[in-house]
Amino acid sequence: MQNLLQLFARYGSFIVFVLLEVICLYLIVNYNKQQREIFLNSSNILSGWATEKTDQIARFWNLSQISDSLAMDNARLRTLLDKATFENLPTTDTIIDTTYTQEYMYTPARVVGNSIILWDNHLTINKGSKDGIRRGMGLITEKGVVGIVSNVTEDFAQCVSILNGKVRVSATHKKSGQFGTLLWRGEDPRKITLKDVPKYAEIEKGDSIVTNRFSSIFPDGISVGTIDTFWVERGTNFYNIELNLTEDISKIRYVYVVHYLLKNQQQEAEGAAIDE
Amino acid sequence: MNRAYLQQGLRFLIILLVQVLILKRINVGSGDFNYFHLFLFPLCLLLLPYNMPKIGAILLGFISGLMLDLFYDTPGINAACSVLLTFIRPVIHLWLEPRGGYTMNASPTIRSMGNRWFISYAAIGMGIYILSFFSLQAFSFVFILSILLKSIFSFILSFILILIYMYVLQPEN
Repeated sequence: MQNLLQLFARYGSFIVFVLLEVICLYLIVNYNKQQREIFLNSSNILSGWATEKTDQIARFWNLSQISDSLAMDNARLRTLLDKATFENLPTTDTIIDTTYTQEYMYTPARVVGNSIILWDNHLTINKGSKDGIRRGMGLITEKGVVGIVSNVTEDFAQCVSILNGKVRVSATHKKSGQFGTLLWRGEDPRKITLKDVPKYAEIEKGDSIVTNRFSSIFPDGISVGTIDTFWVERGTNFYNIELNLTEDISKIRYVYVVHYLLKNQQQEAEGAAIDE
Repeated sequence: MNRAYLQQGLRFLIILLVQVLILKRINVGSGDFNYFHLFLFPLCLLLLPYNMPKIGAILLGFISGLMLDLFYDTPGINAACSVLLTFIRPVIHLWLEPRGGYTMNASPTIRSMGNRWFISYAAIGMGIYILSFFSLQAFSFVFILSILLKSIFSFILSFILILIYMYVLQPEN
């Protein structure tokens, strides 16, 4: 307390001076129009500068978030592109024509889960039973085959990708029409093996392999891959063909689910044939 | 002693009235060249006795400055200048201290200190007051040229006015 009094005795006039000047400045700024405007303007310039600087820093730290949201936006816009939606047209554009019956329908879907490094690789898509997805439907992109729906919930569907050791799909050599069975040996996610093509088929490197409809999953002529290497398996009459996949499974974002509308009829007929 | 207080009080009253009733209305100059304003009021503060407590002088400056502001319609500006002047006053005294020192209960007038001392004292005090007044009025150094012009012309006229006052009335305290 004594120190405080001493302090005041020594600097009292200075303290009073500062105090009163602050009061005066307060009065000036508050009750004089011109000074008030100048004061507000200057403080706006100062605070504007400070805000801008902090904003710049904050923007830098938010870059990753921004790029995420941009990617989301891109994906959304991509679904609006013709490329993503044109396959959907058959669902809305039903031509009543007795010459032809609508055989396939496509539902676009987004890939929300994917794996390529396992032996049993799966994809998850964001369409489910609500959208008419059923077990056993095929998945394709505009470039090639992707997989087969294996499990369906209301909003999602799990699909085995063709990079799955358990999947066997029939495929045809486009030029000769000879067909074989696709299987993945679990090594390179860009390669797949085609077995059981008879060795009298005339095949060359670079020939394309397409799907056929024998397994009633995919329509005819969906590209699978191009021939990379091939040899005749020892002791058999069949080729063993290594294919380069046309679609890079690791990068797919959007797929089309194939509805084969006549599947029941086909299976019924085949079942009947077996029964006989 | 009482007479000295009475004289100081009367001086405050009269000079304040003269300042706000007469000098405030005098705008020397014409059109855009309106750079003159007459200040007599700072003289009251300059003529306060040496031995007045610093805090008391500052408070007195603040109150009388505010009263002046009431008439000038510039809340705070004259008060700020008065507070500044009363705060700096003892410092000016120190600068200008003659060899013999001051008579502590006297006032710094021409009669007690002589022409030369009073002129330099009043010049410094008026200069501070007028410069700070126009600076606060413009409130931005963007107008530095206008501030300086107004200060210089007003200083010259006000200083002449103060000298006339001092020589005509010859105040003792």
